[in-house]
Amino acid sequence: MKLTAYTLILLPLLWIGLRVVINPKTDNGLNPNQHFEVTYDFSVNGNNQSYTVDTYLPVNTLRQTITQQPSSGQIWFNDENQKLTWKGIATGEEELSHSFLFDGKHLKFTIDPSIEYKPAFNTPFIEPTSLIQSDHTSIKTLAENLAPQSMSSVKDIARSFYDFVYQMPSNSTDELTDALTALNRYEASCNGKSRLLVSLFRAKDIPARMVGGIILEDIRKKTSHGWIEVKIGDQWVPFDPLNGHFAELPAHYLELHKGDNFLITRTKNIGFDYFYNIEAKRVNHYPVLSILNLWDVIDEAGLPKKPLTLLLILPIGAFLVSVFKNVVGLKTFGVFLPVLIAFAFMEIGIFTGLIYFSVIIVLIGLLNFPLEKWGILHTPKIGFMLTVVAVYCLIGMYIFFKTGWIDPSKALVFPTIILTMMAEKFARKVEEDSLKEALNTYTQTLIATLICAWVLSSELIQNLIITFPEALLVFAGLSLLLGKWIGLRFTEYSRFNALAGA
Amino acid sequence: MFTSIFKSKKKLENSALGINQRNVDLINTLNQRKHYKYADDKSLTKKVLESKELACPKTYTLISRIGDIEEKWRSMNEYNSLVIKPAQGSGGGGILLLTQKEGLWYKGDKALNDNQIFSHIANIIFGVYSFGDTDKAIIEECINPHSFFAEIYPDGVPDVRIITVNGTLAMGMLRLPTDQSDGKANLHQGGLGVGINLDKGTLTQAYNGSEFTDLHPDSGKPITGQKLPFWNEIVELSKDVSAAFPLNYLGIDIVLDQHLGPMVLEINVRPGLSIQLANKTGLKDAINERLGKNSLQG
Repeated sequence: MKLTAYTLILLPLLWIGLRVVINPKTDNGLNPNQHFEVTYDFSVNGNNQSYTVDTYLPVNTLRQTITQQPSSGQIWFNDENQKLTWKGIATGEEELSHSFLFDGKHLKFTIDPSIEYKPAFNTPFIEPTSLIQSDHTSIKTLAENLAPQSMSSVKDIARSFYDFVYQMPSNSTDELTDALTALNRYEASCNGKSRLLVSLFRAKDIPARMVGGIILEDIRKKTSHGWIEVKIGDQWVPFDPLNGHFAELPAHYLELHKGDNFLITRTKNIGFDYFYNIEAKRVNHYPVLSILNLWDVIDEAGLPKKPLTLLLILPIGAFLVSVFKNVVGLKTFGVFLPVLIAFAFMEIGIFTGLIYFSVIIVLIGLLNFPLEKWGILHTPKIGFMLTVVAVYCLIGMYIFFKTGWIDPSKALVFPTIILTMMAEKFARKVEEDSLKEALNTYTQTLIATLICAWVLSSELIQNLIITFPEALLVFAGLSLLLGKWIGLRFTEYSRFNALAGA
Repeated sequence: MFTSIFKSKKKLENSALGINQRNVDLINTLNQRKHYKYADDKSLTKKVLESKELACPKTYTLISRIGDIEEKWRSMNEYNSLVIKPAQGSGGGGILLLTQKEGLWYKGDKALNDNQIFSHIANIIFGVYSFGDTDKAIIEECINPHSFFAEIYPDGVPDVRIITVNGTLAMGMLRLPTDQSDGKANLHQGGLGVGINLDKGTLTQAYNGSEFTDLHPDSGKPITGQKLPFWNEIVELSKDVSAAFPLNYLGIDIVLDQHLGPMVLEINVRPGLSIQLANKTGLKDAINERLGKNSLQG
């Protein structure tokens, strides 16, 4: 038995080590999701007309590393921005395309609250423009109201401006919205919100500027995105008032240019179309010696990633629960149940999930009293309870549907099945022991569940297990060892404490 | 201070038996799953006991079909008192104690008509007390608890739990009902666990789930130092029961009748571990002491 267990643990670990050593290294090995290939897929259409198409190319920053591919256009620099220009004469339809690789990381700034507000001077980043009307009375008054004289910390001012713009309703218009219009309508998309936020900072003489780019996801799209940067101390700090990023940017934001610019400018009166072709590239499969390269299966055979991930992390979850039960001594409803509830929590959100689940449990707990009193047989009783659970889920879905709180389809199949299983176990426990005991076990199940949800939702762990599926065998080996482990459970130390002094 | 905490932790680990080791070293090693049925189905337990002529409450009848209830119940009229219980129940659920006075059956002071009794038996057969599995109803002799117990506490049916390992007694505990436990003697239902000195049959101390006491908490009568009646018979019966079943780690529940002496109520393949607290002794220590050193890994 021990030999089997140690073989299961050591062999895959050695194999993984070998793969790590043999395969070429890349910086982003454990987080292959934020690696993208972006292709500008433009086309001009003309009848012997000359054309110029101008766009931006990304440069390396703290957050992003760019690898450019050879280009058919001309690359040149304009201030801090890198530009790409195609010039020519269009006879019929002509493809203009350029690709680069993007490797991004999440960056979060901590703003020192002791940095004091000091109006800047002599910089273009505090000047009003026709779209950023920071000298307009409405914007000046708003800036004064949001950041009165008494507010001395730049961090507080930034927070106050940001919150105001972030809380303003969003729309998805792609028309150009200036700062004043955004304020007057009290509704805007990314560019309107960003201009308004920049104008508020500039109204207080704090340098701020627009930033343009694309939110990268594995699709072909036309939408670009805009956010802002504010100069705090010596740093340009990013803020996205549409998607709610305060002094931080997620890893999949591609930055293309600084300033309030159009991403593409071109000769008028010529046929033009464009797409951004974005492909998630997984760079580090550790492909050499890999027995089954799951990333290839996902990318090339179109195997959906989510169910595959669930399949792979299920055994890890089950192992975690067996540690909770046999080492810690938590009492849980079943082994799989906490893992499955953890999956449901990951789906509908932990807070919503907690409420949604707890209501069910209370409902079933109360329901058990009349059913017990009437002497309803066990199996039909469970049938009755499940009907109540189904009705409850329907009501829940109706509320989610009406409020748009969460996607009702997420609250449907998977969690409902788990809920009914949980409700049955709970009802049985109420019957066998008491409501108090059942609630006690429920609480301990939730503790195990929350830790499972926290661990299993880690993208790092998910990516690791997809990259190294052989790690599953390690958990099988650990489970074998745990199955023969005869030590006292943590909870037993206090349970049998009276024996220690005897 | 830290060394003393460390020492008491070590001592606890060396003496107390935890669930993991119970499952690995005792249940899984000494009991085969295919033999669990002898403990889980009380009608089967009784069949084995009766065939070996070991004392247990006399079975009046077994009912496993709804259609048989009425006819079999009619033949029960000759008895003055009886117990109806599910063969596969747990935790004392579904047990009905009835006495007959002037042609009527009473549960305590409450008279029950035939329909009420029939529906109780039908519920047992339908599996209300065995979670959906169809079950058998056992109707058996009602025992009269020994007057020794009435002197400590007048209500309910106390029983003696004996743990045997490979035919040797390892530990014993008397379970006494309290006001809180409502006639039941199970520890987690508020009953009292009392340690037993296996060599002498004397009661050591009582444990109520959180603290130790020498007196019954409700009656105030002394417990510590009392000697159990029929102790030698209890020891012999436990050894015989252990030999009668192919199960080498057992919890044997024994009741003491005023006239008939010790009788086996049921046996358990997964006996609980609280018995260690009632005896203020770890099962590892007890087993190693009574079965020889290193019987269980420390």
